[in-house]
Order: sequence, then structure tokens, then C-alpha cells
Amino acid sequence: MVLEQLLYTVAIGLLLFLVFLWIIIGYSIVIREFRYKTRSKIDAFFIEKLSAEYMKNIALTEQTHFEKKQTISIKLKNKRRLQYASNILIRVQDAFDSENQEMIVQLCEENGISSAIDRKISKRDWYPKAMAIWLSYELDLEGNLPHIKRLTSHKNILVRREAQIGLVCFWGWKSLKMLPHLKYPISLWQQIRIIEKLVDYFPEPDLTYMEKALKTKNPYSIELLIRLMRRFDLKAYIPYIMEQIQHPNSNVSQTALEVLESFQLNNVQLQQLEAQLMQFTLENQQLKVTQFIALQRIAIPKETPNGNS
Amino acid sequence: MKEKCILIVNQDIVVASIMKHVLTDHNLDFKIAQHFSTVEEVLEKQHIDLIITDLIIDGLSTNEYISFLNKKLPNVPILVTSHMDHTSIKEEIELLGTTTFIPLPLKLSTLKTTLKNYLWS
Repeated sequence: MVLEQLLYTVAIGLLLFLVFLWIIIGYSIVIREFRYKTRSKIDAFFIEKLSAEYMKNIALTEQTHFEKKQTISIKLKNKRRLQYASNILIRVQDAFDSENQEMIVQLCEENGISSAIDRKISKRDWYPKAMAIWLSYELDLEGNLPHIKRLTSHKNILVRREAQIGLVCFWGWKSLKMLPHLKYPISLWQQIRIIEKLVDYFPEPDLTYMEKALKTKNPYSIELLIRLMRRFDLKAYIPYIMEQIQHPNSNVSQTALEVLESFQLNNVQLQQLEAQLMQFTLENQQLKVTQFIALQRIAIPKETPNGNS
Repeated sequence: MKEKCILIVNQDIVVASIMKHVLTDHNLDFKIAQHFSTVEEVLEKQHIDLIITDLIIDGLSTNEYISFLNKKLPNVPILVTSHMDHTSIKEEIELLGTTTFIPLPLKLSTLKTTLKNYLWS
């Protein structure tokens, strides 16, 4: 009798578990279906809206008349939908160039994306904050720049990384003036991101801000600067790079020597380096610099009396 | 004028549809494919006069995909769009026989003109 009762209990338990699983599966199917429909509607809305905007642009350049009314409307109050809509705009902006540079910004304002990003950027949680900074610079929402400026030395690594990239995207070379004020290390990956953003969007160096940035004492900022000098082939800064070989931080000194290898130094500069040889105190540094000088001498073709090759 | 058919291949339905809407003309018919299997299906059923395709597509590697298009449609112009605007990539694609490489982001007005040149020149 007891065994029978136990079996019944186990069977009912299993049945209830199965029912629970079916409910979960059913709920998941309904949610996915609903999400798919919502996303398709958002897609359709933006296809109609953006096509009309791009056609308007073409009509302006071709001097023809264009007018098309929007037939689909959506509500973007839910944060998932806002995120989805923002991603669409970023993808479209990456795919098409527009005569109207403000088009995406206007769309963000009209559809509540800008205000949602504003709210997110002021949140205490690091994840939505970092996400909002990323969206701001990807969508060119320059209105958020005052917030972003304040976050370049935020205690959370993701927030400060995105804020630094944001500042580079909005300000270009002017953003280098943040370097003397940075409190935290800048990883190699972050340095590469900053340099690549400058290469992509601001290929013409603005040396006014470079001069200001050279005042930095932060070893990570110095590393970034000397890597920038190599990437943009700024030969005028070879003396600055040479100075950094003596930097007490071994990473800075090693980076300086590596960067220097990509330039051809003249005889005077090589003599200066040779004269400083005894001051190099870090392990193997004298040997590395001696090797470097020897290799550079082999590469020097013909020397003029004033030392320029 | 005889209606021409254009195949737009892009994994992103929004990007492909915007292209279709903006390029729409009274004597142009458009087909959209987001996956390689759809490309195969369309090419089986329909005569295509021009292809605008992204370099990367779901279902096949880039080299195999471009070679497939060139073998299947030897005289059809193929406009390849991509963010990877490197000389080596352009050259490699041209070696595979593709007509034109268009770096992204592209101007839709320019694409419209290019399209007209290929179809009616």
C-alpha cells in the first residue's frame, strides 16, 4: 500500500514536471513569435522611413520633387526595442553615405532613441552607461559629449574605455588633451583602438594638441603617444621618443626603442644616443641600444656634413 | 524598354530593402537574398541581369561564392560591396572575375548611376 502510494506520488510529480516543461516551452515559443513580429515591424518601419529619407536626398541632388508618406508606425518605449532600433540605425549608417549628415541624429530624436540614451548615460550601473556611450558615438549624438568628457577616468574599465573612444570620435586629435588627466592605465588594446579611430576618421594629424599631450607624466599615455608618432610617421618627434628610452618605466622605455626602430635616425641623433649609453640602467638596455645603433649605422647611406642623411 | 531583373544579396534585410526601395524604377524588378541557398533558388528560377552583393554571405565562403557567381552567370555584372576597403582584397576579387568593387559606406545616388550605366549603356 505504501509502495503504491509512493509510485503514485512519483508519477504525479513527473507529470507535474512535464506540464511545467510544456508551459515553459509554450511560453518561450509565444515570446519568440511575439519578438519576431515586433522586430519585423521595427524593420519595416525603418525600411520605409530610411528609404524615404535617402530618396529625398537623391531627389535634392537630382533637382526632382519627392514626397512619400509614412504608413507604418511603432512605439519604442521598451528598452529591448530601443536597442534593436539603435542597432539598425548603426548598420544603415555604416552601409550608406548621406548628403544629410544629420539624418540619423534627427531620426534618433524623433523616435525617442536620443532621450533613452540620455537616461542610460546618467545611470549608476556600468553596463547601460557604457552601452549608452557606445551608442552615442556610433550614432553621432554629440549632445552627450559633456557626459562623456566626465567619464574618461571612471572607476569602471568598460565605461572609461568607451568614454575615451567616444571623445576620440567626437574630437579627433583634440581628444589627446585628455591624456595628462587620465588616472588609470590604458591597455595596449585600448591604445590600438584609439590609434585606429584617428587613422580612420582623422587621418590629418593636428600637432597643436599633440604638443599639449606631451606634457603628460602618465606612462601609459606616453606609450600611446609614441605609438601614434610611429603610426603617423611623425619624424619631428624622434627626439621625444629618444628621451623616453631613459624612462624609469621599463614598458615605456622598451616601447620607445621598438618605435624608434621604425624610423631612420641621422648621424647626430645616433651620436646623442651613444653618448647617453651609460645612463641606461635597465636590464639588457645598453646591449639593445648598442645593437639598435649598429643596425641603424648599417642602414645610413651617405652622410652630409650637417648630419642629415 | 524590357524589364531588367536585379538580385540584391545582403544578410541585413534592412540594408537590402533600402537599396531596393531607393533603386526602384518602372522597368526594374528586384529580388532579395539573405542566404546562399536563396541565391541558388533565385538563380534557378529567374534570369538575372545584374547582382549587387555583399562580400560576406551566410552559407558559403567568400572565394567560393564569388567563383560560383562568375561560373553561373559569366556575362552578368557583379557589384561587390564591402567594408574591407583594402587594395589586396580588391585585387583578389577582381582576379576572381568580378566586375566592380564598391567600398562601404556607399552613396545611393552613385550606386543608382552605376546601375544605369551597366544596364543601359
